[in-house]
Amino acid sequence: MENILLEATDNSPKVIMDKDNGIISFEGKSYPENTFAFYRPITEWLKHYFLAYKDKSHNIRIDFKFLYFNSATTQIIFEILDIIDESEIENINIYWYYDKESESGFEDFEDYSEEFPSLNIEAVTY
Amino acid sequence: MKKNLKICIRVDDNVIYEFSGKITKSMMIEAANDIEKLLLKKCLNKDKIKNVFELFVETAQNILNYAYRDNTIDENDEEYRTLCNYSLYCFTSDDTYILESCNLIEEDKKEIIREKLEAIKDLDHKALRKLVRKKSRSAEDRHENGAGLGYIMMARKSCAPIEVEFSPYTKKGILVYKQRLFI
Repeated sequence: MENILLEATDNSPKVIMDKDNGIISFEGKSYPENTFAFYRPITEWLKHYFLAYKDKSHNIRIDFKFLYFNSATTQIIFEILDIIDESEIENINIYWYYDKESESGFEDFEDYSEEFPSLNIEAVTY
Repeated sequence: MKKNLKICIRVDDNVIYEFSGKITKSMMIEAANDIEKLLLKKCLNKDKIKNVFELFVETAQNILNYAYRDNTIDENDEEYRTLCNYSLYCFTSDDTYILESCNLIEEDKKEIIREKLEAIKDLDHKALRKLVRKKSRSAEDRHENGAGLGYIMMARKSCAPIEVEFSPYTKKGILVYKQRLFI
């Protein structure tokens, strides 16, 4: 299982999936031409990572720092959070970043954190 | 595949962006990024710009994915071009934005659109958010090109009900579809 590092483009986020350091991060705009095809390797990676992780003890940090995203990405974020939730791994810290001037950014945080209360998603404003 | 599309962005009485011609998905992304920069320069409310930008992209992707294309007529014909256009009007006096689009659709899509709008017409902002959560988790309306959440997201980010209009087109089985979003 290899790490994933994708640089940001005009319509897709920078993605870091670093299994050795337990760092997973999404940053930037997300409205790829085919959103589901773009995220499929990422969701597959996560499923394998959490299965393999069972014996590890290091913490995992997951950062969601989306600037703009389309409705398909909304669904993908739910899918990613579902994968994390089902893994039942406890030492995962999840951070949702949003512009402090953005009410909708806060609403997105509320929606995800209320839908997945056991994940204790933390809000970070910028 | 390249498709004809006319894009126009107006801030108050000034046209700040205009495009007319063949457009691909990647060109649409370039256009959206130009528009974001222009809006950030001209308009102050960043939260609204986020909603405007996201709806701009969502609607443009819908047009490119689902609009009916008539191969039997010349897409360069001016009359045809008016049937595939996309305009964003920004009014700085009251910070409102109108996203207007017009394209051709197959007649059988009319009922599908009506049903989708009927299902959300009485929902308030809170209920729309709840529905996005429910539909996202169940993925029940997911298809190859998208999450099937389009109208719900449009309604969630709009400050007034979505306006749609269907009118006849010269070819049987095809309609002219107009949509107006208020943000």
